[in-house]
Amino acid sequence: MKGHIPDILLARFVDGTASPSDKRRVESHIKACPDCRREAADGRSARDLLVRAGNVRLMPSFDEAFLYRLRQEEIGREISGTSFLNRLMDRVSFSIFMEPVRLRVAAVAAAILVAIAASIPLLPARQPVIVASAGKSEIFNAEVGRWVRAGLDGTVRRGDIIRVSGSGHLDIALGNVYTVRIEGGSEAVATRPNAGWVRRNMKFSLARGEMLVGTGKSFGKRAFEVDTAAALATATGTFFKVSVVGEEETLVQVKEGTVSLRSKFGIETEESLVKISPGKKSAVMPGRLPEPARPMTEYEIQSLSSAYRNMGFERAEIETSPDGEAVSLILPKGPERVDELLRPCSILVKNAPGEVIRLIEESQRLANSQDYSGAVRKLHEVLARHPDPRYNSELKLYLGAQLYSLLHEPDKAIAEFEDVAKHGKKEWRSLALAAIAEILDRSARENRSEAKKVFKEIMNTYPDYPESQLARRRLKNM
Amino acid sequence: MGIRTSTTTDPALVKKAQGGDKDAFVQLYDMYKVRIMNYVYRTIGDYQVAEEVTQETFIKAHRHIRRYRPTGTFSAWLYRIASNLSKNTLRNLHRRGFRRSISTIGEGRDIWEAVENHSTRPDYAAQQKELYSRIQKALGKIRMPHRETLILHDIEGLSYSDVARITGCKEGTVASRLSRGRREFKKLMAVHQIRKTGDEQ
Repeated sequence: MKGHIPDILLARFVDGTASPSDKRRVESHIKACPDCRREAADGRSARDLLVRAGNVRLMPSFDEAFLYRLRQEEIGREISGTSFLNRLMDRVSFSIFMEPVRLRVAAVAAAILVAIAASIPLLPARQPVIVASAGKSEIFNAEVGRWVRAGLDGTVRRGDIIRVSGSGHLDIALGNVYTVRIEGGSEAVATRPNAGWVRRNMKFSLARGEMLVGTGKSFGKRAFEVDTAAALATATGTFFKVSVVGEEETLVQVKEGTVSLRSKFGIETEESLVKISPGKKSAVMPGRLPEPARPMTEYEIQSLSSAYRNMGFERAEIETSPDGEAVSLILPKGPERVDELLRPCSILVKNAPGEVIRLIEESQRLANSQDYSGAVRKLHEVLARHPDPRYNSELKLYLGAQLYSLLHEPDKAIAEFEDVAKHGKKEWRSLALAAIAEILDRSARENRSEAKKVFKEIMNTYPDYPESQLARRRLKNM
Repeated sequence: MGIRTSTTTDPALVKKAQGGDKDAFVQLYDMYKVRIMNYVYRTIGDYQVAEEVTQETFIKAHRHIRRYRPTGTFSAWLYRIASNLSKNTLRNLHRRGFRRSISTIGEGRDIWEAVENHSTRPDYAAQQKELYSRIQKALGKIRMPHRETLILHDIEGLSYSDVARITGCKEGTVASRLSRGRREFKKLMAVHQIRKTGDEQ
């Protein structure tokens, strides 16, 4: 062998993996070359030391922390709202320090940024709000660190956990961007409830139950994602429903637009992605590939459509009164708005006098604590002490709905609706009449003929209002 | 002592985990957590960061377990994830202006597994732990490709082909990195020894 032993051969010789001929060559060389003899001995002793290196001990909390993260991973990937790197940064600050020069540069940069930030007005971060609620819903507010009751107009922030119990529902809307309905018996996480300044996709994670997504005209080119244990459904501006059923099976039904459903486990192949077009559905079990998209049944299509109408999407938008209005009723556009009114619907109070706002808020609080007569009393108080044509009609409709649905006083409810139908704002008259007809139709059989009369009156007097469609349909069935 | 025991993974267990069986995955995690933590800690040199990276390795493995193909060993696949994450983490920390304080890590903290005491000498365990810390300090000063190869081959006991697969290089490169790494390591340990004897005198 000329010169010294090459590194490649030396390592194999030290490890005893050199071929017999290489081994003989090296052995004869090191007999004559003291440098290579020392190299081989050093290599061997280094390796022997490293082989004896001890094991690092795992802290007792290691497993617990990992299993917690694994669980979070299964529910929805970004529940804690912190990325791996952020989590890491929180921890390294104890053991790693900044270099002084960099620190100075960072301080100067921070000062410049603060100066720039102070000179421009801060844009308000837009948060989605609760626009309708039925039954009991709770939100785990990540900032406060506890469960709070989900009330109307409450905001939903990133990382909030939303739990809707029983047969209720909770509607959350971000302006005209989207509205989601979380059905009773569901638990969801607002993983990324708004797109933020960087216009990323919006995302909710669904642990169990059902969630309906409807996007509005301001949705733009972003995507809305619903994440479950088994799959990720991504849609760019559309109407779809995601359900987590049975053993974490994820079912997606599409009303409009196209939804990409991707199985979360395994390699991303053509098979792990299914595109679901309108009127079709697909399902994924955890760890399996998604089923090919297949048509929904007639019943499924019907119930999905009615769910969206119920949510306030005649096709897409929720109709609220113009911004200048003091009191707005949150109702869908179509002929089914009377159903929503009688549920009872939600109310939004904006530009009313302070006393009125306070009384209405008190009324809502009482209704939430199931003191319905107290709630109705407060509404009467507003109407008696602060009558104002700007909001009387809306309040009376709201009062009538409460009397009917919560206190089960159909006669008193009809009295309020009659008042609106005769003296109220023109745009609400047909709705008030429809409410009367509905109450009559739903009550004793002998009232059916009365209901028929009211429906006929609607058709004759308000042919251009959505209630006339409802009336026509009802009369046909009667 | 270094982990030379080659854990043979039951392919059926991996298959179960690929089918979404969480218990099977947790069994795999139990099998490999110490090995991965060892590797990551030795590569990064910070215990807390290593804990995070090790957990992230298994979370990533869980997320993508169906991408694993049994052409290589399951452990090599895991090491590869851990290797990429460790390197990315170090890069990110540097980029954010952080300087690793690798040489001081581990001092004053009992992070080493209790030593099995085969000796009658009472200070045996303490001496062993001292040796482990010295090894770690020396490793921290070796260049990354060499350090990684030493850890994977000499400490973790992986074959040349597995190391090549994990580090993305040829077996010849693994061999030459081993020789150079061992040379550096030997020198650093000798320097440490000289300093120590100097201090004692």
